[in-house]
Amino acid sequence: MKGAASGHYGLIARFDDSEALLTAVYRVRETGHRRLEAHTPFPVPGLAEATGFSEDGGRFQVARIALLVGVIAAAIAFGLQWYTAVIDYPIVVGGKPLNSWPAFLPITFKVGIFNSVMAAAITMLVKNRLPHFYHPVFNEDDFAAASADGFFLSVRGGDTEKLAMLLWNCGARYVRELTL
Amino acid sequence: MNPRTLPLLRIALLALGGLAAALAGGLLAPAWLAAALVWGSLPLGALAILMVHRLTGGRWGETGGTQWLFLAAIMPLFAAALLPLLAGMQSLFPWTQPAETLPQLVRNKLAYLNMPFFILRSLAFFALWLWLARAPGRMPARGLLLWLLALTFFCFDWLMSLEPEFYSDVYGLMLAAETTAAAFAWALLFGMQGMETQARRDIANLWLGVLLGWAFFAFSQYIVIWSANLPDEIGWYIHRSRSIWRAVSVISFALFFALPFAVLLSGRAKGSARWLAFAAASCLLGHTLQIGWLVLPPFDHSGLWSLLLLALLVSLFGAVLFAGHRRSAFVPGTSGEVPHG
Repeated sequence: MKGAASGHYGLIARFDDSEALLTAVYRVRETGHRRLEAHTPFPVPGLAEATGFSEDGGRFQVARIALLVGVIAAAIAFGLQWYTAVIDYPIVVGGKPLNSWPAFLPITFKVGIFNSVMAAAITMLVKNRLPHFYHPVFNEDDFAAASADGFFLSVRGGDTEKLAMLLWNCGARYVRELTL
Repeated sequence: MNPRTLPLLRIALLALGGLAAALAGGLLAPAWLAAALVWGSLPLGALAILMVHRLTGGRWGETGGTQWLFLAAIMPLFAAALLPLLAGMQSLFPWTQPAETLPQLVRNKLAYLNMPFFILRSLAFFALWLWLARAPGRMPARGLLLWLLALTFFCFDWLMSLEPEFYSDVYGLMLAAETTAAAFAWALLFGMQGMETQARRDIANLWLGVLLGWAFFAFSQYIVIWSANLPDEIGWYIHRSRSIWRAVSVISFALFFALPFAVLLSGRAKGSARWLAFAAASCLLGHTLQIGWLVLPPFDHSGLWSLLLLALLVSLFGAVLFAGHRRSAFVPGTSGEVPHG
């Protein structure tokens, strides 16, 4: 990878307010850059959509995966109980039929919910690329301001000169290089 | 017609109908009871929702508030339809028969289940609910506690004592969830036009929560009684799994819970007015069947006639309720009306 070899990651620009950042995000995306991230002290309305985030996460959205895993796990849990009670070790309990499905439902429900919650949490982590132990933005000395009053835009790769020009034009307080 | 006399006319009509049903007895009295409960669930549920909103706040309550205030305002009609049945208690409640003919189990309950105490309790429940419904949202925290207690004992009296051998702790909670779910469904079905999208989604989420609560209560009652299989209790379910009632139990569960639940699982359907209206209509239909299923089986083992009678009476109540109503009076065309509660 070219960037990795030279120790160059991309650029980071600091803006003074959320409007300037938002316009910058739109203008950078217009030039075709896709690998950009915004860092703000509070949630800025419309910023997530501007950086290309959408609620429905494509084919592998969290809700769909959670439902799928939950249903499969519930089916397995029910199947296991049915197999145990009816085929593998049939015992008549309390004069009830072997296939006493109402008694299987609490376990089915619990296993289904547990797996669907786990699937949702794991999918969320994987899709957010978490846990993430290192990120080049922390090489930027003033980055701590992102949790106070700094509005940052980091762009990975791209034509550095042109991009820096564009960011300056958008009203950045400064534009700096990010190293790996 | 003078708009002031219209509510009085409705009350008089329902009270006379209730009296006629009580004196006629037979299938008419239980069917009238079921129809009154189908409609009466709505103001009861609306009252709880208004009190909860009073405690929590939130846009959902402001946007649905007009519908629930409208429902709370029909509480006097519920009282007018139900209380005349006290005149026909002998045809409804088996424990009013002479004590020597009753099984020992029921005879032990007569200290609680006797006519003077029953009438006193019924009057007290309605006094509380009418008082709460006059200004929904007054003393919401204590009101909610009293509401739940009153509803629990009301259900013990008017529903559970129809089969006096039967007893279930969770019965009142189950009905509390059912009435609230029905009131949510009503607000979604008839108040949809005036709702902001986000508030409507909140209402749908709350509705889903209440429906899940109902499923939990209903299933926990079933699993406990089914597992124990005791003769006094299991009879209640046996009556409800014969002939047409078996189909009714499955269909009412599907309409009241399973279908709305499946619709509400999808985030996209939850945001769509058409899907929500479909789910809400299904829930209200299921609610009607569910109340019929709770009340009618001991009176009519085959079930078909009493169900038809129930459908007829429920429509009749609707007609009495809405005849002469201007449409704008109960379907707000504008959003943002704040309930005064």
